[in-house]
Amino acid sequence: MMYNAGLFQYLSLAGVLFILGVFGVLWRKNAIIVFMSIELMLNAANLVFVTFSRFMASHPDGYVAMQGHMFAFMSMVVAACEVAVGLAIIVVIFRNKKTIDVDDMNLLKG
Amino acid sequence: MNPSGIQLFLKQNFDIQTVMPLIVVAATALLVLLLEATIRGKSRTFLTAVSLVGLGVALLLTLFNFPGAKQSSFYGMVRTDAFAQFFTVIALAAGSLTLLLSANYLPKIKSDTGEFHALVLLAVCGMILMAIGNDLIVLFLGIETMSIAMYILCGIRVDAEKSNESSLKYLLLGAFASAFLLFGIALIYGATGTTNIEALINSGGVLYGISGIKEYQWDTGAYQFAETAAQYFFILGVAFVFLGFAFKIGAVPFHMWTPDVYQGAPTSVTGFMAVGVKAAAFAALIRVFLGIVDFGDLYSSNAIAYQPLMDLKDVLLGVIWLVAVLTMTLGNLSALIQTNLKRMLAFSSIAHAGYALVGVSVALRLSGDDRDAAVGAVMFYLLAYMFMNLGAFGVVIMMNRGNDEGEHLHDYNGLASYRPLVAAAMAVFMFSLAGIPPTAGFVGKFYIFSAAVSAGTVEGYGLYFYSLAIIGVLNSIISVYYYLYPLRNMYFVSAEREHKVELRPLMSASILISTIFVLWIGVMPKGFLSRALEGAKALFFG
Amino acid sequence: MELIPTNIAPSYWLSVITFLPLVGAFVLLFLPRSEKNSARWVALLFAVVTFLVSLKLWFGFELGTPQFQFVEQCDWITFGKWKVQYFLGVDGISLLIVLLTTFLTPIVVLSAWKAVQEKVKEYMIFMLLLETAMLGALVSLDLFLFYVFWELMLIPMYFLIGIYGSNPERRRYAAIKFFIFTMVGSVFMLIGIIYLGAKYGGYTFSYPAILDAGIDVYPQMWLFLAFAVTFAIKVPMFPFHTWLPDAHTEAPTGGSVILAGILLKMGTYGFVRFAMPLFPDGVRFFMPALAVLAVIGIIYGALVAMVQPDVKRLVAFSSVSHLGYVMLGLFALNAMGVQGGIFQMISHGLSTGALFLIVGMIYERRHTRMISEFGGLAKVMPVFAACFLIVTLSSIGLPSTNGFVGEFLILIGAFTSGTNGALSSACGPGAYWFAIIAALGVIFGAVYMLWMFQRVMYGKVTNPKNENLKDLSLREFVVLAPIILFIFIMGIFPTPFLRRMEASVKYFNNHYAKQFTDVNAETASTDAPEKAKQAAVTSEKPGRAFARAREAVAVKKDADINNAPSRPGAGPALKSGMKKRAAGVPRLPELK
Repeated sequence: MMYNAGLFQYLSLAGVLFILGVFGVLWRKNAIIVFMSIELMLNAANLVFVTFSRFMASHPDGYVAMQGHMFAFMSMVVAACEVAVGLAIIVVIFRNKKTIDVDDMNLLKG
Repeated sequence: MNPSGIQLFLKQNFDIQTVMPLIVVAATALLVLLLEATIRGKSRTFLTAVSLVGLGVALLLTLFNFPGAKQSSFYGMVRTDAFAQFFTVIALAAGSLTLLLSANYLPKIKSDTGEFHALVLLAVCGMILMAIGNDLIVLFLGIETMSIAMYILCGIRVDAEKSNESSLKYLLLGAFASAFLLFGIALIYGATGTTNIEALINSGGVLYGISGIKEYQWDTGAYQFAETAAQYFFILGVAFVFLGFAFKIGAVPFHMWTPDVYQGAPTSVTGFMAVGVKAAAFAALIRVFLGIVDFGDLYSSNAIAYQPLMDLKDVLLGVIWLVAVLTMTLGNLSALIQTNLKRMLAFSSIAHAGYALVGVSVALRLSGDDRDAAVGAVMFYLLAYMFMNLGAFGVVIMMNRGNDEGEHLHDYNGLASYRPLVAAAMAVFMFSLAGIPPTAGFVGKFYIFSAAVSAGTVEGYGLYFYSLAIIGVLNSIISVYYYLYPLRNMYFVSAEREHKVELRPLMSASILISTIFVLWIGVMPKGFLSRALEGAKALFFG
Repeated sequence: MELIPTNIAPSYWLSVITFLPLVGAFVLLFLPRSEKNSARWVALLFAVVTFLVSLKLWFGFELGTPQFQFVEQCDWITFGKWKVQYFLGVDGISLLIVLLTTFLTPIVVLSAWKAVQEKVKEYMIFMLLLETAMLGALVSLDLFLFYVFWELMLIPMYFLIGIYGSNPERRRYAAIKFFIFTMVGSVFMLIGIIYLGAKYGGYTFSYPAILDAGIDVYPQMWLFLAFAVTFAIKVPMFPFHTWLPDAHTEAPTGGSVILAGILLKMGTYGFVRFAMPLFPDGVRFFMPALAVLAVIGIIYGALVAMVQPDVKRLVAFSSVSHLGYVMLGLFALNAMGVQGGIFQMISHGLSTGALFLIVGMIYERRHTRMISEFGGLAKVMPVFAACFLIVTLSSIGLPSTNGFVGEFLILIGAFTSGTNGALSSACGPGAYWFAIIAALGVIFGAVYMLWMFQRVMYGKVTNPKNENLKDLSLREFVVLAPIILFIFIMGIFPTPFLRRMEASVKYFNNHYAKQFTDVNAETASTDAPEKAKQAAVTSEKPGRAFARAREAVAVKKDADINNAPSRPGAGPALKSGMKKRAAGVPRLPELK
């Protein structure tokens, strides 16, 4: 019998991705890896959106069902912008400091 | 579809007029980018002028031609009510003052680029989106539009390592918080089937989300599971969204980025961040949270709710209470030991977010007129805070002597004797930030604490809110202590040497405007208060 | 609302008086910094004009009614349910302090003519701003408005101490200490004001409305505490007084005069206007503690003053002692005590103000204030010595000077009240000891003042620097003369002053009366003055006691005149209203 992946499975996957992202942000030192972890979290959210949208019954008003899909695209665009800006900033930092280790960012202290 | 049908369709669902200020600002941003690319070798003052004209037109449109009658448009995605109008005005005014402050400052820090103006305008766009957004996803879009512009603005001094660092810190932590926010929105969407705040409230508390799934092939307990899960998703979603907002307003314990980022960013950007970003985040926070809490209430009265959902409001109240207290206290205590004025103002801005959170937590408890008054007090406070804080940062900018010099407290020694007017303006801002009458800051704090005390008179919540008010005023005392530092240095200490402080016209104009407004709002706050109250009343539909 | 006349004729006198100095400050803002003399003249002009306009209050004041007069009332800020009014008015309690303020300000401006040479314009601006704030606080009948002016007072005073103080290091400390101390108290009052407005004022902060509201007993306790701490810091009462010597020592002469003359009175005024009438149960509950603190203040202030090597610090501590009297008089809660308290506020404002001016004049000449540096000045500066002597005697409370009337009324009032009045009802039967111990303070006062005077003025000129000091200039004499004139006027003819406050004091005493119902009015009014006389006799030197007894007869006559209906037609409706209010409530003992 074919096993259909259900709501629970998708959400679990999204949850695992999200938690992986969180730990990545908290534990990794390399700015690029940190940044990738954030992307992982954003994509986990996208997955949740799409999953819910797919499994959701129609709203009585009728227009809801596709919302989740649409939002996923929207957040992908936003994430892309963030990546563009983020990488640019990281490049600038690398030029100035020759490192992108977040632990070396210690000029600003009280 | 015939032409008239299309027209009708557009008219009904995409009333362009409702987002006219946003369009004007966005168009100005693009125009500025274009001009910067085509007109070379010219003074940037020209770009400032163009940007200011754009912001001015948008401000006029917001003030005098804001669509009050038809409030929801774009399928309920945006809502242009008096609440939105109020925060749009704050965003536009903050943007204008920032540009005025930056005009003479950017050459000093060698970052006189045209993009700066465009980025400020785009950040203003984001703030306006947050003010008018009536859908979680529009709010998210607004936050991101604003934040991405701010990330770049923080790092606009490409050669300065501090600025780079500030930018990276803001980016990583900001994106981290955004991810939480988005995940939270996704969970709320799953639980309720909508991200529209108005639909959420009007749905009468029925969860249309995954609990509505019946036709899918599940085992017997699936429906039960979905119903339970929906409630937990909702609560988790609310928690994540709160976390995202708490980061944006710099509330404890998500405040660690604030002082570092504020100190490293160019000062005018710091001021802009402290007032604009914060005000916009509060706009979104108020709209979302008061709506969500209403929904939670309805839900727990309508359906077979589990205990956690029934307690949501009280738990949220407790959490915001605690966050408000911690934010005020930690912000003020940390500011007490700072010797760098910019960093001190950064910590003080954390404390001020705490005061505003007091109002939010009060509004969660109250209902009807009292809630309107509490929300109105927060709105008014943010308006007052904008003028006094941007004014203070304006003086810091004026004292700047290139790079980071001129930010230390002892750079202010004896300022009153050689620049009496600048010192007097700074005194007005400091007294206002400390909440001493007759300034805007006093009236703002007064109504926030009034809201807390009148919430305390509600049966059973006395201790809760009286203590909040008392902790608030105790914090005011702490804050008086450190706001008096710069005054002491300016007035009571004689200068070892007089620093060159140039009174450039645009910068002076900005400080003058701030001073006038701080005093005006302090003495005659009636008009401002009634606009804030109107906004608060417009917020609660139904 | 009985306290507010129903038909308010539009009157702008109070607004004009309050904001005229502000206009002056605004005009000064546009003067160039180098124009020092015109800054002085402009400030003097505005201060004098304010005083002249304020005379309208004295002559236009209707006697025999506790109602507020010259009332102005309109909405200021409305926000939802909350309503803040612009609500001004004077009654017998505030009238004299308002006049004291307008009277002292021109003197202070004049006294700074030579003493302040740097930043003259700013000095004058701060002075005028301070006058507006003080007048505003005195005439506000809306608690929010009062709070605004109350806090506004801090700002100019902070700068006056911090910029123009004598010692560069200590003045910063003194300024910040002054600011923080006052602020700490007042924020709790702010919470109290908000609570009162929300719960009892119907979301307004109108003083008469809250006065009529009848506040529950339990909230009264902590509300009174919040208000009392605020005002006690300002007075300053004993444990909260530590900011005062620092502020006084560091403040410039003008600042000290204003500080001692008026700012401290704000504390006592706050008690008699707000803390006590609004929370009578709170008063009753805390009265033992406060009366003890007041008496400790009297004795402690006097003892500490005795050992001060610095003249200015000595005068500062004498203020702590004198204001202890004022507080004791106010807590007596009978006509004599409260009238004496208010009278003493005015006379302390004059005599201590004059003392600070005199200290300032010596300081200008010698740039020191140490007692040990002086000696024999009377020979070098005879006119100065005469003025100093008069002011010193007034501060001690010699009969025929203003100090005597106030202290005497207070002591009698406190004694009466302590034997059979509010004090004894709240603190137990032995409460007359407060008055007896306080009378000891009078002796201490004579000791430290006369001793100081002797060391400074008499004997041989030991220090060669003192040999060629100039006597008072014409300007300095003009500064001191009006105060000395009033020292005598108030000392010899106190009646017009007492009469103006009488009706209001009576009204408020009746207001408390129900909290102290165990008072037996009959016996108290007959034998109390005798006992008080005895007390005065037992604790004082024979000569002075005799003079006091003679004066007591004079005061009694005055009081008789006061009690006669001064104007038969004045406000009959109101009087009947008052009678209704007082009906069934035993009157507090009064001097008949």
